[in-house]
Amino acid sequence: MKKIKLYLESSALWNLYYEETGAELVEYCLENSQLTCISSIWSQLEIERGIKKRENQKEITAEEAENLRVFIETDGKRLASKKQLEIVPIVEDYIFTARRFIQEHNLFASDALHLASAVLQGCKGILVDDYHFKRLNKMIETREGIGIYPTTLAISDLKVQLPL
Amino acid sequence: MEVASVRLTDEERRFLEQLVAKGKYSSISEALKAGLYELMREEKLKEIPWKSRTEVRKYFSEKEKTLKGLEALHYEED
Repeated sequence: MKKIKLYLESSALWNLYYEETGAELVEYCLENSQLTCISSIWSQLEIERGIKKRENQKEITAEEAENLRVFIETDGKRLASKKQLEIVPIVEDYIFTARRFIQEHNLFASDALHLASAVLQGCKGILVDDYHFKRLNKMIETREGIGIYPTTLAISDLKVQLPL
Repeated sequence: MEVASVRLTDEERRFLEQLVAKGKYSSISEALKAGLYELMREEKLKEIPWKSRTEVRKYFSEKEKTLKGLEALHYEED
């Protein structure tokens, strides 16, 4: 049976390690054998910056930041080796499509790159945190034919919407 | 940056050259550094206090959060 491709935006991956909400759904997706979870290599930079920013703001210590960095990197490799998460590179097509999304949907560059990666990878949906969910609106869902789901969505609702 | 000499067997050298030829690394030196980085990461991993993502989340849930998610990364003027 062909698997459903689901794109994990960097904020969804971040939920796995740091935030109090959203992890349950992302964990469910990674474990679900009916799904192929995909993210862009760009997510690694966004997460790296997320850690550094918290270190800069003294929310976490330098040691905690380094531990978190090493854990996330190792965990990412573990997920990739178990084929639970596929990290896709940024190729020129994605940039071209992302440029179109910036113009047509008034997206920020990062959001446009994630959306382009998801659409060109043939993903049926994008999992994002609540904040991004508000930005990637219904108009994009309709026009690009891709579902946008917040990480706080109930597992039962995601099952209905994909459907699983 | 320090320069070090490394003795390689023919097989090891060919393996590294293949990695460079495939475009995975820009030079043998970079390929060796990538291997070294892996070893450093393995050693570092032994010192990390968490074994699972659940443990990581539990640890950081006790932090007073000044930022939410990765949203601040995207701040731009409209």
